[in-house]
Amino acid sequence: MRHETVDHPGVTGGERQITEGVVVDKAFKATFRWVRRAVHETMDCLEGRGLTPEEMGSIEIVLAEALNNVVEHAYPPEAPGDVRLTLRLRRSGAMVEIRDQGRPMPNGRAPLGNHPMAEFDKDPMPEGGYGWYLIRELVQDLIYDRRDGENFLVFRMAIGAR
Amino acid sequence: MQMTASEVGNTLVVVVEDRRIDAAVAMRFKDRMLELTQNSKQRVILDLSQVEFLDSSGLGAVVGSMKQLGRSRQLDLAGLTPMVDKVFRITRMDRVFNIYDTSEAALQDVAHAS
Repeated sequence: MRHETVDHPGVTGGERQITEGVVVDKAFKATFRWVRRAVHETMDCLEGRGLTPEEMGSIEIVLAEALNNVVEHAYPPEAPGDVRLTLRLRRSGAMVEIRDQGRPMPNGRAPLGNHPMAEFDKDPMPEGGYGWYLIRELVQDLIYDRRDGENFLVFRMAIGAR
Repeated sequence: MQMTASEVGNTLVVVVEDRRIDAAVAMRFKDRMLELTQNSKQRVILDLSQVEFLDSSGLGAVVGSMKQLGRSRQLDLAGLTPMVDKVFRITRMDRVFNIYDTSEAALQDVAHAS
């Protein structure tokens, strides 16, 4: 489906006016329901800051994927812990930090995010594994760190590049 | 998961009436697809025009639904909204499925309904 590009009110004469600053800094329970709500609230907070619909879409997808990973992999389903989301808008883009006190990532590293069809030779049509692929395609400068029992996932999205 | 199905000739059109297919509902989506397509004949068109957001779990559930239908039945997609379209494009799954602007266009394209 083709959709037309609509000039965003925040874009004037090629000079983007992005309202910088901390957009969101919140902690919530790592469940699908709370993630859904937190992402929704974050998108509400980003309204009117000069981002294009395309950029808004990328942020929504990446936040949902990264936070749902915490829900699915960091904590046992019967005992979900907390996750903290911080999103700032800067000249260099959207800076996102996600912190949790759950299990570390396997081998202490963030997944490479290869395309699942390239990963699993046995199944030509895998039903999972698209999450990290989407994240890696849409973000820059991703860093994962584990310190004092806490997972830090930090990345930048090239939003509002002039 | 609000979904309805209607038969048009040999084709079953399934309309998703929820705005999101995400991790929270992906399993329910797949179960509902299985239920609705149990007696379908050849071709299933999945109308996603009301779905504004689909994440990797939702994508996996759509792929799973295609596999559930087996080789004898085909799953085509219709009405992808901008964000859903984006996820299909980035993951290159737009090459795996026949994708139509609307379910009407999908129904008219009998030639590709193999």
